[in-house]
Amino acid sequence: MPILEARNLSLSIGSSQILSQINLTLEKGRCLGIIGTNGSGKTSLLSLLAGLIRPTKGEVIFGGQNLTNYTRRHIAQKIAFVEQQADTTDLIDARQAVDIGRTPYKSFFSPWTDEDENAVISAIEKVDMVGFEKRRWSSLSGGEKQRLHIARALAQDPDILILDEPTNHLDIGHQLDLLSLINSLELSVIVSLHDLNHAAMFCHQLILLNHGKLYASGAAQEVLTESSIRDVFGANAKIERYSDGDFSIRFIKP
Amino acid sequence: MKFSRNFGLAFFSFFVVALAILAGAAIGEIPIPLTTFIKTLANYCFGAHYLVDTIDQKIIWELRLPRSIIAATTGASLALCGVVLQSILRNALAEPYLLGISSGAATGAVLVTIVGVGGGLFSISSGALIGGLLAFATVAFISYHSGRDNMAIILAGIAAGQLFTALTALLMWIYGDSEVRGRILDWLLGNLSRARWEDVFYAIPVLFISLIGFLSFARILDAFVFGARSAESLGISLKYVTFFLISLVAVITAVNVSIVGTVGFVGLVIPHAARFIVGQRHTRLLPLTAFIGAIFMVCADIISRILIHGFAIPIGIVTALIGAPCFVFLLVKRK
Repeated sequence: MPILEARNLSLSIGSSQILSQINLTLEKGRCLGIIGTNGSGKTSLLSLLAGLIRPTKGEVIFGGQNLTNYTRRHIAQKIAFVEQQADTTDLIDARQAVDIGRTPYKSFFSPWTDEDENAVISAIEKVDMVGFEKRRWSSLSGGEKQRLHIARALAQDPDILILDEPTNHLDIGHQLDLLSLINSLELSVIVSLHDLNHAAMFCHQLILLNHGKLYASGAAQEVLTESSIRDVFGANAKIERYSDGDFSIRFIKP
Repeated sequence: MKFSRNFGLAFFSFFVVALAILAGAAIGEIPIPLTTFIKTLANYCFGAHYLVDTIDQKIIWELRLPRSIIAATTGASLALCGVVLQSILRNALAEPYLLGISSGAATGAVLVTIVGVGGGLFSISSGALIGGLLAFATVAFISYHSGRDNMAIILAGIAAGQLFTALTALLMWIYGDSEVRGRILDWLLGNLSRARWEDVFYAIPVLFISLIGFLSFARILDAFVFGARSAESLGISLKYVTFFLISLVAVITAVNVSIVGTVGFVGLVIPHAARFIVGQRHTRLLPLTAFIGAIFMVCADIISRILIHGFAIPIGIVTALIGAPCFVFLLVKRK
């Protein structure tokens, strides 16, 4: 049984149709990549799957129930969402950015428990940021901030982790590090990515969006073809397949 | 261990605020000997029978002491409201008067005093309270119909503020003579001289209810650090939290404006000063803000009464005059 499922998901804002008739399933422990052009509806789709906005039509099924049946708090205990480029000028330290991940488990006046403490410490360990706890947020690099955002999501102790273009503005080394980290977490993950090679490398399944519609879905080899890349991105590419079953996309100068 | 430390800190803060309030009651335009001051306190608090000049005694007990207490509660309340608004609206320039309350309160005050609405049934304070709350209702209405996000609330506040300020000016222009205009201006710049014990009896509960109310939301306020959307993904029901907190801020601000008029600076700058000292964790930030706000306002009030001999400067002028340099100092030191 899939852990998360979208059925005929549509979203319109005013008179513009953002997404129409999206179907997808996420299997437990798998990584689902969402790719598509700028403005193809990736962020909107992730927001719908995270229960942050309600679909105009269709439904998101989690644990056998429509996501709209859950309270915001309950959703936050099960699904963690890492936004694109969340930043702050507030005077916080790295530890505080992770601490707030425990918010879904706290009610008015409830004290900070050992369980909270352990969840935060283990989240910081998992993203390899031990020793950075006291650092000012403003003094951290983009890669470090992104790791801490993921640590905050892990502190939520979720079943599903949703990330919106987590590798934006990172250099190639940090991009690969971050994606390997996400792969190593043993969570069910939905991630939107710009780099098609990264999507092929790190995701078990891909969804290709084109103008708010599902263009293709399935394994990377099925979704990323020379014709689909030309149709959706308007780019000429050559798919190179290797004897070990891997493949890479080489773009050709227009 | 942690509990006893927090309790100790709270007790110490109360003690310091109480000392400041007493200093505020002991010092004033008319010099009264310290022994008279102590005897007066003994007479009222412990039923002693010292012989004290009745006028001095009245000045201390009926004018200065409530005035000083109101200075403390207003300072603490406005600063708390500032912290909460800045945190949920994610805007460093947010302050209690942003919600149009002070402008609406001014319109209410003018309607009661100059135009004579209510036929003398309403005091200037109740006129201000009703005006302030009506202005906030306007802001809430506009922002509800214009997207309900932070920017909608801020812009609605600005629109309503301008509208009520213009209304006030228009009413003063049509009805007011120079004497009434002076009285309204005095009120607009903040004036503690009308503070009485009746005001104390509702200002203190309002302050403590708001402090406890805001503290219960401390963790939720912490979660706003990366913006409203991120807070929502942490399980916060944005609609209810924003509505509840902003309404609470509006009521507290309106109550305080109705007692002392508009006192600028405290609600805007004290929260930043407190952040520089303890950072952004609201369990610490909220009590410290209330503490600094109270001390700052009591001191500003003392200075306003002794700076120019025999002439009390409006408190709103003093808060900005001494507050701005203090704030600049903190700002530079932070680097």
